[in-house]
Amino acid sequence: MSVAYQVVGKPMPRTDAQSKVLGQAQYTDDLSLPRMLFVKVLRSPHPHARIRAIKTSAAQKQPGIVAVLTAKDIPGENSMGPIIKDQQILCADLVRYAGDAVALVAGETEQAAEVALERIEVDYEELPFVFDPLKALEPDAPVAHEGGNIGTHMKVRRGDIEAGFGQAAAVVEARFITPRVEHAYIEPEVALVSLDAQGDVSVWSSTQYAHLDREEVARMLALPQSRVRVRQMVTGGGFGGKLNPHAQCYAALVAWKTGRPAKVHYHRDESLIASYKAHPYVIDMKLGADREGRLTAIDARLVGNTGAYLCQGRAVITKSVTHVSGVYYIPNIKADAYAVHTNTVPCGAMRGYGVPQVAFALESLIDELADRLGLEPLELRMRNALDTTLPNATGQIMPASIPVKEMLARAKTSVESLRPLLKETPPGRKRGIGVGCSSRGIGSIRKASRSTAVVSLHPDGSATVACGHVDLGQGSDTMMAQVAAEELGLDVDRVRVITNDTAISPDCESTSASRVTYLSGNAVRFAAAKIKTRVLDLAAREFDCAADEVKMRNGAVAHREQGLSLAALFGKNTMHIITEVAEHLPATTPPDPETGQGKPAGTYNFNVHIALVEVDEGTGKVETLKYLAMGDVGKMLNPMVVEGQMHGGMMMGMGFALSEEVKIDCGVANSTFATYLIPTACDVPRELIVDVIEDAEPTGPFGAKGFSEGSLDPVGATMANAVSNAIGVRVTQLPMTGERIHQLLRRRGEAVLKAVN
Amino acid sequence: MFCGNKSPMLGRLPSFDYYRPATLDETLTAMERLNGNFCVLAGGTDLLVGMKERRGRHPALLDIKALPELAGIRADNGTLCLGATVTTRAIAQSPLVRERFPMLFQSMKLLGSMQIGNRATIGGNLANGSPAADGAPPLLALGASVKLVGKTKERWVPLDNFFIGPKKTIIEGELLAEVRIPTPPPSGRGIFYKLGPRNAPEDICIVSAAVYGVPDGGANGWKELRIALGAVAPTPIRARHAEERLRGQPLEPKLVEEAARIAADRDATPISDIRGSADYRREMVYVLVKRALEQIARDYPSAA
Amino acid sequence: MSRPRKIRVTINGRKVEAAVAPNQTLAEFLRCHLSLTGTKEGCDTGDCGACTVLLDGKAVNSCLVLAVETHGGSVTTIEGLSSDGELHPLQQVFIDNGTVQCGFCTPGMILGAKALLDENPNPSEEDIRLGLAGNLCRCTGYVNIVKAVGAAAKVLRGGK
Repeated sequence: MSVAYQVVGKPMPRTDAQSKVLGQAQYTDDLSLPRMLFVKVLRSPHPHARIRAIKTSAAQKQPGIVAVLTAKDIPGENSMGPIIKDQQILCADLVRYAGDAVALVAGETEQAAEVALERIEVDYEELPFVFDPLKALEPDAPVAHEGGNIGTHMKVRRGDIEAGFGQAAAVVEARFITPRVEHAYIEPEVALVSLDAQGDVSVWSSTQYAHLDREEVARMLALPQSRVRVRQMVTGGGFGGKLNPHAQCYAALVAWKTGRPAKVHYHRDESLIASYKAHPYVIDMKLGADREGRLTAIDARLVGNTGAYLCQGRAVITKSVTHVSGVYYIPNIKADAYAVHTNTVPCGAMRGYGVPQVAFALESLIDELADRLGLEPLELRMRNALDTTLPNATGQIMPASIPVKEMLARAKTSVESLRPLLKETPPGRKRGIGVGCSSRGIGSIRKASRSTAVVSLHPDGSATVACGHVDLGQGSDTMMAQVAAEELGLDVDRVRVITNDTAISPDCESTSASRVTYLSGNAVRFAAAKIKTRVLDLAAREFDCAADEVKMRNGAVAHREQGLSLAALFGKNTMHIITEVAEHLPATTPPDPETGQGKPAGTYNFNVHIALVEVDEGTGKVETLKYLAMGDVGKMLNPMVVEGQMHGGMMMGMGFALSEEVKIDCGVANSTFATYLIPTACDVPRELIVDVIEDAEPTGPFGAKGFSEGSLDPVGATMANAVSNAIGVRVTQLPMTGERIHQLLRRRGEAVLKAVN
Repeated sequence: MFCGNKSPMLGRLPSFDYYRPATLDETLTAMERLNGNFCVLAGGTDLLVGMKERRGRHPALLDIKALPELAGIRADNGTLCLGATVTTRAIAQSPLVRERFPMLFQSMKLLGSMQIGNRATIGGNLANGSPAADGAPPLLALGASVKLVGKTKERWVPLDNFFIGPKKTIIEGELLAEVRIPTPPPSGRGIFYKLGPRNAPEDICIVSAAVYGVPDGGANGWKELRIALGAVAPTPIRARHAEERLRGQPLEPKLVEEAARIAADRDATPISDIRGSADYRREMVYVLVKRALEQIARDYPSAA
Repeated sequence: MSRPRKIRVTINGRKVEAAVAPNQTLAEFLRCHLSLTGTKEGCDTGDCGACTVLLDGKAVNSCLVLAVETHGGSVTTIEGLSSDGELHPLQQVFIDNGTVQCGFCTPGMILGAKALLDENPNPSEEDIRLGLAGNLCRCTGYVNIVKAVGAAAKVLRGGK
């Protein structure tokens, strides 16, 4: 079915682009209020310690200091967390990582607060600690978290794993290690809070989930949620990292205690030291295939280092383990995934959410297996690719919008076109081609999740959309405006989308899990459609015709030569506004806790990437000559947004593949952008091609589905396969720094020498 | 198991006094009066970061950017004179430097981002005493000297004698005023390699290497051949053992390899840090020195 | 101890006189003193470039420049780039090429690009990448930004 749309499917700059290029867009730190206090956070220097006493008197006496607060000043619950609320807002008795928050100082200036921070005396009793998740699993390991170091154990069980390996003609296995990764949004955490005359709390924040800010602040202050109003300001990126409202809670506590507006603004190192990261994994994986190249079994043990707190560890681990078989049908699966506590910075949500790590392991083994079986890597992938008849690891079969085989076929052509370039390798270099695939369930898969939208049509032919999915920069507000505009026959600039105000926009759960386009897009579309139905019914009565004979466009209704403005139509019917509410709740079944089987996602997104790399044999440094990112998005609502998300996700994946790794000495060791190295403009592949596959998702708004994480998912895998192909040694650890690749080259050199001798 | 405390966190600049003298004389007087309780402010790209990170506290900053004596790039009778407050980007953009000192040009171009290069000064790059200073290896290899000016006397110090330890130089209550580089003969050839973790100019190098050679015109090799290294010792260094091994001989492949190995194993004394292990650094000295020597040999096959 | 200094500086074409503490950075001065909040603070250590402004025509990290150091100088911020509500060609191509996502790097990126094009009106793609290396962006992967700067160069040269 092909429908010509007026607004959706058209490239369109973001609705806020102009305010951003002019420097007028207001971010939280751009706001100031009279009598505003500046808040600084005292953080633990120890990875694990008991707090014996905190002396604040010397700090209190410092000039310009208004308040010094500790856990005992919290009137309500002292806990926070995006999902599992196991982290104290201010540690009362125990600190569990170097960076855990202990006290707050509020001063008239930032400098005054900084000086006073050093005058707080904390008496710590240092406790044994553990950083390594495998050591944390040993019986006599220090206890990083009460309740044991295993925070979560999730499983997938299907078929008969032993029989599966019994049928295998080739079996490969290896241990894979991935780094702890930082979101590195360019705007650090920031929040401003003030009280109004009634004592109600206003929060302005940089956040991915304004309603969670409200919930946590209300809980901490023992206030009803109705007395807390959160406005998400223009937010300078999130990527999963702005789901835990710590800064918001600190500012709110100071405002509550002092009655004055309070601002918390993290410097970059505090953001790196204290905010949660993407989980580093140790993955032991074993994969078998029969002589025909059909995958028979996979056995995997995934250990994710969730750090001091579980916050979202359970959900991340669940995503990983349910995606263990990637884009392939594997009949026999045994997978165990653990979120393990250590005394390191907590890990939680980040773009990818546990999928890039398993994709790296699985796709690496697929290449190894292809090598054993004497098959082209793409051929082995094609023989096992999911389609509308085969279930993924959770047993879910996707009846539509699953173009994996088409993508692999295209990939084959691309790889063939790259092959001649291997012959042009300069001396001292090695070139290789790699392919990586990934699949991703859209939305939270642990439990069903819902979006709610309120759409209002005004008599002047403009519309307001209220929907609580904040825009962090990815462009969702623009796409929601397009959806409503399309349905209501309006120009996009007649539609205002308000997603950022808890007093106006209904809670849609967080902006995460690539869920906004699919869930909120549907909710907005359904609400707009309901309005359209009402308008057409009213018009049909006026025109004395059937509703489906009425056209609604540009704030007017028409039937043949009769026409009426919406203002006139509304007036005749004593309407001032037409408002409708709609929801979208995909029909899903969460994975069974014992087997992982279910129907956990409303739809899935697929990606196939190809890289041509060149490795410097001397230094081990990797350069990406060409990169092709193929992404399946259902139908595009806005090609400009889609392209931007694919570029951005792909380059974030490039950081994961080549240079990014949060290191721990005591706390985070590399806490600046001079030591935590995200890609720069000089690190973009010499040639980068984005190829969007459109295969409509029948249950999505105008055929669309989520895709923003997918462009990151297979990058580590793709690059590792390309580099392994170039150097002739299997890469099993990311990031592939020059040093790591140099080590592999040297080991291979030594092995060759041994073989010769 | 030991776990040391984290250093204090990044913050706003602590308070300090600020002086901006207009002449060299005023500067020297102020330096005497402040009696060591100050730090010279040139580009500020390292100094201010250190102060924000609470690594360095200074009661006063003495801004030397208004001094005409310290500004400008000029050629003086065959010598390149760089005022201490000339920015690294101005050096990279100087046609004179680009044509006659391509190795210096290369290092200045890769010293930092455009924004950093517009502030960072050549004097600061050296006086800072960082073992990884991008400016140091090429200047060492080119035989540069620095002018140190005190209240009562001034002295010229070969850069070879200038660095004495990590963040330590020979400066004693003096001002680094100028860098001079003897103009190389037309046949001179320099190569600079910087190995960073990414491809970005702002990367602090894992290892850097500069090789400078002047062929003797005959078959006996090289009149001069200097090798300098960055980030592999407490200071930027000359690879004297490797240079010694090469002296007066043609750059044959076996010799090149041997010299590079000597540079890595004897001259370099690297440590492990967040950017790389000592082992990797040593190996990279070998790789970069070998490459640079091979490049020079290729450029002058007669001298090879 | 650190007494305020009087400075005279031209900001976006307007003469400004102010007393500033020596430890106030140019970024703080612009944002807090003059409410020119288009200049963003992303890292405070000169690594991210979000605070890029033009000082006497050259791109600098305003987090690593003291306000007192700008005495007698001229500063252009993002607010000074457009005139009479008309976008600078760089701002227009940034919109048209889909370079804007979260937008936090955008003002600094545009000013960095302006400095680059002022010095080199006809840059290669390599020149653009090197020139923008000090402006970090986490959203866009730089691809469209590099494309946009190339397009702006064309516009500014008077071509199409």
